[in-house]
Amino acid sequence: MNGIQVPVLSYAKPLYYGAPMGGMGSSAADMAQFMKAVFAAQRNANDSSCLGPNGRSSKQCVVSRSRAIEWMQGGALQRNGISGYGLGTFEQAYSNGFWIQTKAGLWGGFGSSIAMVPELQLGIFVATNMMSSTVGQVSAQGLDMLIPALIRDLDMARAPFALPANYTRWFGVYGSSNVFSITAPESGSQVPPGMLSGTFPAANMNQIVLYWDVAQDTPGTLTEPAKTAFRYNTVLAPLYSCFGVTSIGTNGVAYLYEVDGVQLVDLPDMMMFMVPKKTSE
Amino acid sequence: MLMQALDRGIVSLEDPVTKFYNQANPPVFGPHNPYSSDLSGVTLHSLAQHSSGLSREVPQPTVNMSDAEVFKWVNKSPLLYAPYSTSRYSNLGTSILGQSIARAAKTSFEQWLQTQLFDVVGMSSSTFSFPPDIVKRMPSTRARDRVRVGRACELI
Repeated sequence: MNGIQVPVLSYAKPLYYGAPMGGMGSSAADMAQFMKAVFAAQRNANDSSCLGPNGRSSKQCVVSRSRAIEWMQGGALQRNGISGYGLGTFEQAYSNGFWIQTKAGLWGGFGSSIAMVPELQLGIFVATNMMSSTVGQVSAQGLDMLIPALIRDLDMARAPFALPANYTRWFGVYGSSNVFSITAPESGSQVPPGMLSGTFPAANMNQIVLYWDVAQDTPGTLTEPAKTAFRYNTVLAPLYSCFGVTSIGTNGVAYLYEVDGVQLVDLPDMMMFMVPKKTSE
Repeated sequence: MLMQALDRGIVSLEDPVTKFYNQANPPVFGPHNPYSSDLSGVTLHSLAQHSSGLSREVPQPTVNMSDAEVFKWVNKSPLLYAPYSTSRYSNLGTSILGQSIARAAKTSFEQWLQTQLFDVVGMSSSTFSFPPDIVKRMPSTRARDRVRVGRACELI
């Protein structure tokens, strides 16, 4: 530390081929605006609600919903399995159970790092007036603290959902060869909220189709046409302990049971499980 | 910038860099590709994912290099690996990506960001030109870090 401070403007631009940011200067407040705009784009209902005439950006979002989602998804996964390169500018790191979109850099006596967790709509930006290659670690450590805290707050804020009084009717063995069963966690105990679970053989899993029996009245028979259907990537299924699934077609009718209060991918406020036809208690 | 350009149909991820830098639109993008007969694999997508085969930095970097100066050195260098065969971080590739999109949009990188991002989102302190009102609010930095700038390096 020599204590000498100097202006750096003459060194900061132009920078076309020196760094991805191209010589841009910004502030923490502006980068927060940028992150909010990206998150807002992801929350849009569809692409048309974002883009104005001739595809121009509107005040509400800078890119369409589908592009924003594509932007924040994985790209070139690296061999370590926990990092990758996305679609331009952002690098990706897996941490605390989430993929983080991040970019750090140094130039002109300054350092900065941006990191976003799209799933949580959480972002952090760090700027320093020194060049240190550890600037990216600052944002990473910030997320190490923020992500668990945010998850805890989200869990606490979520109202516990109530299972219906007759939920025990779902207990039993389903399918022709015990391929699926639903049980209480312990014999004779009450099923705690959110813990109604099923087991299924992973080998049977492929892409599944979920049918929503709106009536929810007869476990053995679908008494009315399924009101809607969803396709769900079963790769994600093991992430949800309360999510019981099995393949349909070989084991009969499948059901989807709806309970308020749990958010699951594209089906907000819904907990799901589906089972083949019940064969025994 | 890339996502906005895709939204508007200005570029496609599959567009090769040679679509924007060629004989008709110099400078020519023409690094030696020992793995293929052409450079069609060096697409905007490969640049975005750091999978193009380009080196990490401009081979002979100086501050304020023009496109022609950059491509003179790029064209003297071979691709380090076949596009998409692996991925290696590249400031050079990302920069060519931004400049290619700017060419396709018939604008400059700076102008695009100013009009399509800064103005839209309200990023009033973001700039490439550093006007006096922003300079007044900028923090100072250390002299030893300024020396690093003279080497035109960006550490990631």
